[in-house]
Amino acid sequence: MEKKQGEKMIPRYALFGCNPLAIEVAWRLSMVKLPFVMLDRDESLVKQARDEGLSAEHLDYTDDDALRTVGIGSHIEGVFCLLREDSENVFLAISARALDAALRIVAVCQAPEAAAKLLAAGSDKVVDPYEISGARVHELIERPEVVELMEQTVFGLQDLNIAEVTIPTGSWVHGVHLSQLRKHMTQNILLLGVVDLERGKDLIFSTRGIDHNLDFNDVLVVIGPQSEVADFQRMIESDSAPATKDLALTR
Amino acid sequence: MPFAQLLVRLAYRQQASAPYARLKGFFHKLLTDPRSHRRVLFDSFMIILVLVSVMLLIYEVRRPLGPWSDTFEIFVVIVFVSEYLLRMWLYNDSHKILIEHWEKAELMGLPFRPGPALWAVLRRKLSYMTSPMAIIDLLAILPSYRPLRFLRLFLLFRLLKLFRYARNLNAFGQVLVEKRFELYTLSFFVGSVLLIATVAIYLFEAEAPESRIQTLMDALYWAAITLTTVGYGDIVPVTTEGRVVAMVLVFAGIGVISFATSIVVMAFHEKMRELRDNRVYGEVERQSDITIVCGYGRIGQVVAERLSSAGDAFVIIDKNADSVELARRQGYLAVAGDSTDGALLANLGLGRQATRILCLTHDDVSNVYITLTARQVAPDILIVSRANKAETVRKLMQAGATHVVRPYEVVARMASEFIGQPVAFDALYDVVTRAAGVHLEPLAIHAGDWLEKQRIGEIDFTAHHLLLFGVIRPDTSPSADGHARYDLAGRHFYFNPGADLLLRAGDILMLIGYQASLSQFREVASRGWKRNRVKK
Repeated sequence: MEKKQGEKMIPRYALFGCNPLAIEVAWRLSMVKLPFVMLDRDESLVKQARDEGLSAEHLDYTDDDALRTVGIGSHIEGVFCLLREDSENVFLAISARALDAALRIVAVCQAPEAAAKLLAAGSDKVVDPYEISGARVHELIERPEVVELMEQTVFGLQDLNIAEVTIPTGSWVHGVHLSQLRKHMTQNILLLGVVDLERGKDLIFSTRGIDHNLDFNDVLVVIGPQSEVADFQRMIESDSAPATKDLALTR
Repeated sequence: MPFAQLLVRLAYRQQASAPYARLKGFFHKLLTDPRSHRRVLFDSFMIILVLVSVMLLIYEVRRPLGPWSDTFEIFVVIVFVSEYLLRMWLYNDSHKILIEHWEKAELMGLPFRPGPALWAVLRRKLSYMTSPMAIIDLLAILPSYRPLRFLRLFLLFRLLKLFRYARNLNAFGQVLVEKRFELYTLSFFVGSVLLIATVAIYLFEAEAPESRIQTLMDALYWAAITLTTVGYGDIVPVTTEGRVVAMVLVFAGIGVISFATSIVVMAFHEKMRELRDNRVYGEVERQSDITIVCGYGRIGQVVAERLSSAGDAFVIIDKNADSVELARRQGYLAVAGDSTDGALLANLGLGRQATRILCLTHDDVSNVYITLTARQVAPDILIVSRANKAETVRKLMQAGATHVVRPYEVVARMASEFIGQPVAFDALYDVVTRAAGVHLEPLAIHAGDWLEKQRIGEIDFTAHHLLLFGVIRPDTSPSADGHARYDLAGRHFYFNPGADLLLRAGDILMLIGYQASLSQFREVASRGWKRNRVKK
């Protein structure tokens, strides 16, 4: 994000748009230490962003070559389409998706009807600011404790995060049932469930009646402190099961 | 004076008397309480009575009816007279006037004189009797006295009584009263034009032999019929000059009619809006627990939809009439007005039934003002406000908001969380917002529950198809060691606690699971001691 001791970190995320919303997103990314670069066609907006201390460049998003230069298709993992007009975001999403099929694209929509178009254009997620703000207001009325808990812990800055752990090929977990995996878990994490992308994007909840048979490329969704998650990830990636621990230790 | 003392004592006794108050309350609910259901029944009964009695009296003009119609008429008169007397009684509390005079005399050290006090009571009753509806009521009783033919006119007064019972007709009457300045102007203008036209046509036509206009009355009649563009054709001018007058009058008439129509339409339009607002106020009064939503922009719309699905009662305020219309079309209660208006908020339940207020207008200044107003009037109310700028958040919290939502912040948070791990984020977000079947729910432990004094390891969450996310404990309790602990405002959160954590009253379990599993566990938890201690 910023020049750290004279060297520039390579950005992993590209934010298109240097408007107030984009600046807000940028600050959030810098808080969670994700390296990014802000891009806009309008020089004055780029300058404003730079004046605030953010890393910003001038770029014409309609030019595919410029997109490639900035890193889409190579080192950029995620793109935020935060331009002012829905049509601009749609164009950008299509362009980016064409350059990199594995890119994560998040777009913001102004009109609710644009959400479907943005998804069709290749966005992974469309955020309607009013819809989610309204949802949040309602959550605060109905379930304030849940919101507060999530805010302060998982979505806040304390060391408790959600994480996805993909089961790699060669892992011992392939073919193992979910319930069996839980018995091997010694880390202080919560296994929320698993997403089997072959079956769709829904989470298969871990204590549901169905005991899912784990495959390669299934994604385990866990919550826990950073170190514990990393430990769990190492355990999953190894090719042999850990030495079976005493069953009394697990829950 | 013993008489004076007797009077005062009587007044005090009346004031203290509960049966008297109950009786008066009963009649008040029947006759004059705008919100009472009984009154609606009474009004309907009176409307039917009036219409039937008028119909019978009209029928009798040409065909005599049997003696039963006389009996019926007597019955109607008795009802009307009783109603008149009851309304006079309900109009005010006379004993209050007497007491007021007595207490004033006591205060000033003067002797109490019953004369002026009684005169004050009488004056008050007279002011009722001289009010228009009371006069109508009195005159409506009269038509029964058949021998005087002219009294048949008073039949109309019975129909006018209907104004009192049908609330919408009442509105019509109020319109006339409210717009009386415009109506006076209109009458004056019309009167002048009529006068000129009458005189003109009489001057030109009266001497012509074939003309139907012989008297001033004819001329006036013709002028009125022509001005209002009715034109029966029973009287037509025959002279050329007369025809010129007619032409001028016709064009003048169009102008007058337009003017009159526009006044009436405008007045009714305003009145209709007021009536609709009153209906909303009435509806709000009937709720015991209501949410006030200030602002029906995009965010307001989303919130309204969710509140509606959850079955919560709410009312919307917005400055823009189109937005209000949109809300009404969705079937929501909505009022057009300025949310910063304290009186409007009070009418919608602030300080009484409103348990929550949402400040969702586009303008930070308004949101702060509404927050402050609401917090002052209702210290316990839940206030959720929108903020557009970051600096406004602190101002809103200072003004007393319980929660603040900043749209850009919500977007930024979601976008940045998602981009890191999209699958995990979506999964958790669905849990938090209850979009999928899996919910995250708190379960509070009260003193005496079987969960109290249990260890985590003794509760088989897996058998209940639940995940224990963690335990929230107020930070006034001594903290438990050996468990991952996080800080919330004023509380601690123990994430995924170990088997040996001992639960206490006041703890809140955060459980994740399907709705059915959660409900079942909740029920089991409330069932009591020793029933479900399942060892692993």
